[in-house]
Amino acid sequence: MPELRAVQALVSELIRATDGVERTLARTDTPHRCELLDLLAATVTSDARLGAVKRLEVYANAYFYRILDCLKEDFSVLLANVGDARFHDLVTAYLLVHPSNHFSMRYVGQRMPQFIAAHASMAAFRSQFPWAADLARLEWALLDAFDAADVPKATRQDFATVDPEEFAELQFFLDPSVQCLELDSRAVRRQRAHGAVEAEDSALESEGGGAPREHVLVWRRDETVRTRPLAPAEARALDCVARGKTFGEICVEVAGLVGEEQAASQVAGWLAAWLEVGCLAKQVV
Amino acid sequence: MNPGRAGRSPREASGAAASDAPFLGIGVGLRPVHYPEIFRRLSGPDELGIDWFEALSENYMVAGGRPRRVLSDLRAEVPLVLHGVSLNIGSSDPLDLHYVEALAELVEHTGARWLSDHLCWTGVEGRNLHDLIPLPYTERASDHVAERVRQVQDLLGRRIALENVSSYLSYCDDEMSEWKFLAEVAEKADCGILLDVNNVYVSAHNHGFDPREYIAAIPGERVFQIHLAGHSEDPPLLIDTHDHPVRDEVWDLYAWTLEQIGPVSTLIEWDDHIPSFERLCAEAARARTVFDRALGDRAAQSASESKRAG
Repeated sequence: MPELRAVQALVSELIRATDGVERTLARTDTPHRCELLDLLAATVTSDARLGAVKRLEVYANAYFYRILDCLKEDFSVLLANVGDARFHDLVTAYLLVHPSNHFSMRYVGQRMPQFIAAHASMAAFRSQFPWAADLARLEWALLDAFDAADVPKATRQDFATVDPEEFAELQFFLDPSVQCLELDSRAVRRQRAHGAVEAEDSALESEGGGAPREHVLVWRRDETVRTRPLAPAEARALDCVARGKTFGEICVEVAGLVGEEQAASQVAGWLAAWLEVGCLAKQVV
Repeated sequence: MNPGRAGRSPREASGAAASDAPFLGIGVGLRPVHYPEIFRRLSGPDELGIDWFEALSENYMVAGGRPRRVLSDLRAEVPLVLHGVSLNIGSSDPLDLHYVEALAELVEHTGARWLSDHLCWTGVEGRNLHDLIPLPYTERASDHVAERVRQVQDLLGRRIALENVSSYLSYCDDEMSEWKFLAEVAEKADCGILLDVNNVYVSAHNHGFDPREYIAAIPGERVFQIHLAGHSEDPPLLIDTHDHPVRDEVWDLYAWTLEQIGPVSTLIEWDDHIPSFERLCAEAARARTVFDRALGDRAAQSASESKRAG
């Protein structure tokens, strides 16, 4: 019998064959198939009740369907919108390119948004469902917000004693659950139809006349993941906070969008709103 | 009672289990769908209905949010034990030290009474299969696993327990039975055993051995815990699906196991088609009845131990 590493590599390769051991072997070119079958015969026991291939098939099925079930939960809105058969094919293609390399199934779908958005094998899927990658991004962001780190939230009191003269130099820190996404509005609408995103029509025509885009804020408060639409100026301000900009710098950045005279009061208003709903943390995390 | 071992109670001897895994009674696997009912019972006049929970380690190896808060709240109310599926102790890949670090942190967070994983491998070449694949039962494999268990135990500063898996395949070059392999690894690594009675039953059917021969060979003093679960039929195999009540044949084997090794903390696993918490508690109550009948006076004695441990 081969060494443990060779045994495990063979079993792993066959179990990860996403359309089953038997079909994968049938598809494999003859020299390699013979090599695999010889190795399998020398490795896994066959008996009168069941051959080695059928016994491995139990694990291959479990591997695929366990991950499929997990991804169905993680991308439930995408599943509902593309249908069972296409989702099944999507997961098959995804696992061939991105087999799980994390100890937890929580992260098995981590590369799904990028896979849909950019992988060559997804070209037809993308043209049929041009919003699918952004829908996957939004669903993944909800998961990330759900179990992001807990840190102390900033409160109004934290800023009560700040000298108004020093406010321009003040920095703010986002709660680890906060994400600001710019998405295809058709993806957001589909999520909204599932009740996960607050309804508010803030869709904007993107420059260049492509599909409308919109910004969505995702964060967690009281253990519940929340979302709300963001106007472009507020999204820009939030991005400034994420980049460590000071109050004064944020005002300069959004002045072009809200007007120079309105910038300070507008940014102060957003900060107050973010404080109120728990989007700001006390310290850098 | 097996006449050959009548009156013997290896679990009560001064072994690994006695010092590392106090008797906790009858528990169930902690599942998120039951959180509301669990906290309702804990905050009101109703009995919780079980003695302890086993949490799946990987589900709580996250930065924060509700999963982590639930464990901190529960640890103040009821004993917790951790059960992992991704230690990958039998892999030929290097041990995943990030995983072990995360596990150590989780032990600290939960105050886990003990922790367990499986005697198997779950991935190789950096790929995770998210399944419990059996090992070849050879001397070399037992040395390999035992060395890694010792390394994990050194890093964690405590013994761990390894669970026998349900299996659907075996290897051509197996040199020993699964039960000899399990006992040998436990002895070489000086670790505990999580004896899954349903898995013994399922594997006995799938490979054609006598489940009682298996259990009789297990060093009772090393058994930290027993698992019970339901399985499904997929002829000619039985599959360990955890989606049914415990089968009658497994209840019988559980009673027989207790007669052999004495009182051991017992846990009901139910992971698919998960029933209400009330139904799960009814399954735990059945375990308690079987436990009491099998052990007689020793059951009462272990119940007072459990109160002290809790």
